[in-house]
Amino acid sequence: MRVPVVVAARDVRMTYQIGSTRVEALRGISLDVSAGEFLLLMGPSGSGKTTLLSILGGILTPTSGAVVACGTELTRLRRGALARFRLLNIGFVFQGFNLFSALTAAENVQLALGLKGDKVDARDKACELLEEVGLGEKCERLPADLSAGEKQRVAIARALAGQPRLIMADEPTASLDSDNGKHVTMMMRRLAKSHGCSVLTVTHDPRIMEVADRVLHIEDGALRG
Amino acid sequence: MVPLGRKTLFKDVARFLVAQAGVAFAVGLIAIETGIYLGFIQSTVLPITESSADIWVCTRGMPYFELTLPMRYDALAKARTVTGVRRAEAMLIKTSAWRGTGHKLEYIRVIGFDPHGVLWSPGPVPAEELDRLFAPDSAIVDDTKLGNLNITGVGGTGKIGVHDVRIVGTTHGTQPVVSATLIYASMRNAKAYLSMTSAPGVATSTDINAAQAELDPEELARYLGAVDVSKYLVEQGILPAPAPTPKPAPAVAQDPSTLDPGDDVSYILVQAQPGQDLTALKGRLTSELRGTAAYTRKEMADRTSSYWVKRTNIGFILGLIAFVGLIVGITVAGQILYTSVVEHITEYGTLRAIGAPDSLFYKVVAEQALIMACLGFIPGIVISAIVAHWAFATRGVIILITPESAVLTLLIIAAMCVASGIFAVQRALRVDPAMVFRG
Ligand SMILES: Nc1ncnc2c1ncn2[C@@H]1O[C@H](COP(=O)(O)OP(=O)(O)O)[C@@H](O)[C@H]1O
Ligand SMILES: [Mg+2]
Repeated sequence: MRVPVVVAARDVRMTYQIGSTRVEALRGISLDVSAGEFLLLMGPSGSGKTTLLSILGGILTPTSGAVVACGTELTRLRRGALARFRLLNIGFVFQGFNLFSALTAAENVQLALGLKGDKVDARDKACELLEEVGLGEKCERLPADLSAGEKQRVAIARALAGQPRLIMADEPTASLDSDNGKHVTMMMRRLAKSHGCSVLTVTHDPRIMEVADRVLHIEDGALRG
Repeated sequence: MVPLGRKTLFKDVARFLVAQAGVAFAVGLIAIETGIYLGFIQSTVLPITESSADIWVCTRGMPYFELTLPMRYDALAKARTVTGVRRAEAMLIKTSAWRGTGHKLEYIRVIGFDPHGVLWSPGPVPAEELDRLFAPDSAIVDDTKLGNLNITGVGGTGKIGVHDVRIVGTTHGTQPVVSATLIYASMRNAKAYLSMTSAPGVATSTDINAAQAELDPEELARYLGAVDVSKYLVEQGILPAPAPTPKPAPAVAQDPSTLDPGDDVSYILVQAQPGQDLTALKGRLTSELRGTAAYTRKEMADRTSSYWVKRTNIGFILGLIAFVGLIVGITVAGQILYTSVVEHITEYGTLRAIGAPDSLFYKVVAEQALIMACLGFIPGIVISAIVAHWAFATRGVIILITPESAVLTLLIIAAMCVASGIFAVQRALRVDPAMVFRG
């Protein structure tokens, strides 16, 4: 039985131009992400990991190449349509958590639910998701009153809101100590599996390699091996 | 939907209060500086708008209320015979000087009017104080100008020409900011105060002016080239003398509300019979009274305010200040909103990365802008109103803040907050959404 592909990239190239200097961040990358897959992206700093993640997640448009995600050819979408695609299909987890500091944990998740058009019982659903990341008791806390690990768990709950097909995480554990990092990664893996979404996560942490379904190595803008 | 804009605004209370103080400052700046300008214009036309006359008649060429050449008093009787005139009263206005105790001089304009008339009165003065104007050598002044006359209240005295004038009453809110101190008196008293020839034949106004300036009599005599002039002036009671000085004759001998036919008056105020076409009535008045022009109350007020606005630099300067106030206020309000968006640029970036539609950004910032404009407006306008009240009560200076101008200020501030917020959001939208991935 063939596993369905959630994201397919073909010969993706990305060139940044700053003034007269050109940086070739990606030099022809092709890859498939299967449904439900927990995929790890590793590589040295500046190798193009963030750029690749941004392109596959519909945040950046590549200079050339094709990206088909969830059945949509991303490179053909305009700005507004691309934003809508991201909203409905992709959950993001950032290194710096990027929670809304004025909103409580529940409101952070609720806002994402609301944006995705899931407004009925948004409050209850937000609390359920927080329950799943082990923060049922801390729904009403502001981000400032949460530890780094807790913040990232709120961010994961927010990313899971609205049943996305894919979660994109860029160094989600870089701001956490290694125990917390491991804990958060395991949690992300477990929840992705139970919610049936694929995860593409960038990390430097070799200990996470063991739990990944597959590990991709990127160097100098190209996949290795 | 979670009220992201409102919650973000109220999150940091200290910062919010500082921003609110800024908006309140902007509101105050706009309200007070435009209020000063509007109040100035209103104050210049106070003597006109306070009058219930429909038409003002004066000699041709009058540029503004305080400057007009005289016409004869008997024009009043003639005006009363014109068809459509229900009532007519005369008014006299001339420049002079008040010599207070300690010989302090104050530049004044004496306004002579009929204290029992109905077409003109110097603001809120009780009837018994108006009645006192029939006494010789009496006058009323705005209470904010008592200090200028070097007196403390009713009963204070000073000299106008040769007359020892007693202040018999006060009024409030009648004094144009830019004018010489207005002194209100009966027609006959005003005529007496202003007469430059009360010493028959010889003394000229120059003599009297010089005398008022307290020249040494000898010196004055030398200056005039006639030794006996000083003696003459002393005899006439114009100069204080070593010898006891005879008091000048009281100014009022006849009915104080009337003058002699050949006397000077400045304006004839006309009340039309009900239903009269004012344009036609103006035409009849000017053809009946040779060499005159007639203006409706509004024309008279417009003429006077536009004189101050256009022909003097005072209007220009105050207009400029009001304009600068408007610009500064707008900039301050705009800056505050812009800064608040920029401060939260990462959060906007996150929203954008998640895939929030552009409309959400505008909704968030518009909500913030309106909250800030409204909450900043309230203290801003209250403080402005207090300042305006204080200025009027203590100085008689009008800072005009009407409900309309207050609402307009609110709209300007709100529009500016929204506009600068939108401007800032557009910047936020242009930011590379990939920024959220950079630590
Ligand atoms: N917005 C940008 N403008 C110009 N150059 C960029 C930009 N973003 C990334 N780059 C460059 O592209 C290369 C890859 O960057 P990035 O994808 O962030 O790598 P990584 O996430 O693996 O550290 C680097 O050389 C970086 O300097
Ligand atoms: Mg990176």
